[in-house]
Amino acid sequence: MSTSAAALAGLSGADAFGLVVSALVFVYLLYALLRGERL
Amino acid sequence: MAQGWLQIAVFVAVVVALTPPLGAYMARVYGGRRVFLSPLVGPLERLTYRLLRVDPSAQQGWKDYAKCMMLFSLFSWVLLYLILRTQGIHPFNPEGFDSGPWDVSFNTASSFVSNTNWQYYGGETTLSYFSQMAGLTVQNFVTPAVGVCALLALIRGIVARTGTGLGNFWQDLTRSLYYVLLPLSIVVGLVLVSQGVVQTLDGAAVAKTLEGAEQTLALGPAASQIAIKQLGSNGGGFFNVNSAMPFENGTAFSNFVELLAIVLIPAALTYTYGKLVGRQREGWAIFAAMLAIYLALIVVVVPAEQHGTPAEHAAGTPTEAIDGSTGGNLEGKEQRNGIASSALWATTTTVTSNGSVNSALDSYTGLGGMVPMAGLGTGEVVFGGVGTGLYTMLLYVLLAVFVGGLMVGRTPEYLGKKIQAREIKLVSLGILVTPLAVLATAGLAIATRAGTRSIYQAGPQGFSETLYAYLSQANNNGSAFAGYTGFVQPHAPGNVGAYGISFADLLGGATMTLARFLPIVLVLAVAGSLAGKTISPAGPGTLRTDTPTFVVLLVGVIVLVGALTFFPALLLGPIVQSLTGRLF
Repeated sequence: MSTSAAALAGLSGADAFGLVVSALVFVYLLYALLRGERL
Repeated sequence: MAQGWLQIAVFVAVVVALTPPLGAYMARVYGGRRVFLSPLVGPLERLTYRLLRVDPSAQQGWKDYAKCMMLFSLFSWVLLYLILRTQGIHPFNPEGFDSGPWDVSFNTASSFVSNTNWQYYGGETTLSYFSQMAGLTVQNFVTPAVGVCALLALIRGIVARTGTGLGNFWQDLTRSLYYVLLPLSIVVGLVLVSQGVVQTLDGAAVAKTLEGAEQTLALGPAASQIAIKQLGSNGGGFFNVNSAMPFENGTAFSNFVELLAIVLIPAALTYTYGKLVGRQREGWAIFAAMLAIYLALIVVVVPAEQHGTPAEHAAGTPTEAIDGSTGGNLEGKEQRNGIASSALWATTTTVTSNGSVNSALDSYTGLGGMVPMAGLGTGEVVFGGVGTGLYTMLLYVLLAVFVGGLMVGRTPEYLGKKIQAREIKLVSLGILVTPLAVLATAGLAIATRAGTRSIYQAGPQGFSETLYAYLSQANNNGSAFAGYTGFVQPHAPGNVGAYGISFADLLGGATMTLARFLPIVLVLAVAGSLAGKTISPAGPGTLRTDTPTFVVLLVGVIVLVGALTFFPALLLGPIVQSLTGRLF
């Protein structure tokens, strides 16, 4: 999320940073969980 | 107070007593055997298959089953959205209501197709009888049937000996509607009409009050909707104040019947499960785990509400029972219902995925208000929604088997099926999707300006409102800490000038849809995975799943997952509130 988008949503910089980091960690964990599974 | 506990004891006893007969009946229906309704319903069932051009004997794999379910639900969503958006041109609209705004209609369509019945709209001031009957009530019937379908597929996956067939979606759907939901709704609907619940296509009545003022009394075809609202874990009220409204729930008996209707099918499905897997003790073990959590929550909420809030004590408000009143924290509660009946309902409606209310949850004490949140936080597995409760519970059973196996060094297997990495990954995702949706959306809603527009109260209560809103929507419950809103409605005739709060409407709608269908697909994937396994005979290394020890383990796993996920959030809302003397 860019700074302007964060400001638009009324998020503080720290909140926006935390959101991006947690989203990245989540996506990595999901990838690690499902890697190698034939769904 | 003793009378209140007696009411609760009688209610629980009736639920336990009705579980075997209804459970056995449903086992016969879903096993394809003849029941007393077969001569009447059988021809209708066969005609339905012919009209739909469906071969009910064609077995489906999990992907085909999921595809049919998704397509059916998508069709339902589009149909409902169109009905709401074109309300103004349809018949049965005596009050001349406008069509719904796009964002509120998006939320409402998502809400009813996901069996949530979250209501930003106000029933009697927004929706025509046509929208209520052809739109909402139809979904109230088909969505619990879809929940049962997912459960049946999972059960067949567990017991399958050959191949990967999970049954036929259309057959399961049709049988749920014709043999279970429709007949029970007719019976409950008639009982409710006998208790004064209204059922008419006439417009609102105008009455003169004692002071000579005019009062408009909203009417409508309520009883037919209330019956399935309770039986199908739906919960959306015909009227805005739901089952606190005398026209929706008029007497102590209607209150008892509606409450019973909420848990009847989900409780009985545990017995059906025992029958279908051929091991009745397995069904009772699950029932026992559900009952244990249910009773634990009741013994927290009832004394908390009877005791009243710290603010009430500080203000010197009497909270003890007096003649003609139960006393206690009666703000937001009907005097006629009192503490026990209100608190029992609040617990029952949130441990199942029902969401109807007969009191205002927003007005509960800090600790009392945490009980509904705890019910939602455990994933609504305590009887739970129709179908959804038991399939989520079975995911927890598989997780408990895995955890238990690791703890004592035994092979993780359930009813002869080995539980391996693939199943545990799918189970973990199935269990965690909903809490993840709750925390992410509640976090977004509390941290953004657009999200805080929906909040009514300040401080921890405002946080609780937000958390509850997304807990409820993600768990497909539909009850609310009522201050939170996504719809602004001026007092104008025909609903002119009403508009939605798009952020809350869209975020909520997306949450309800995602948290309904993603777990269902994962459950079907677990079913498909289990169906392909051979059954190995139980040996000395098998962890038994029908013993009291396993029940304790299962309860422990459920409580731990819920507590670890939601405790930090609960600290910020109800817990901090219950520790202060301030009134929020």
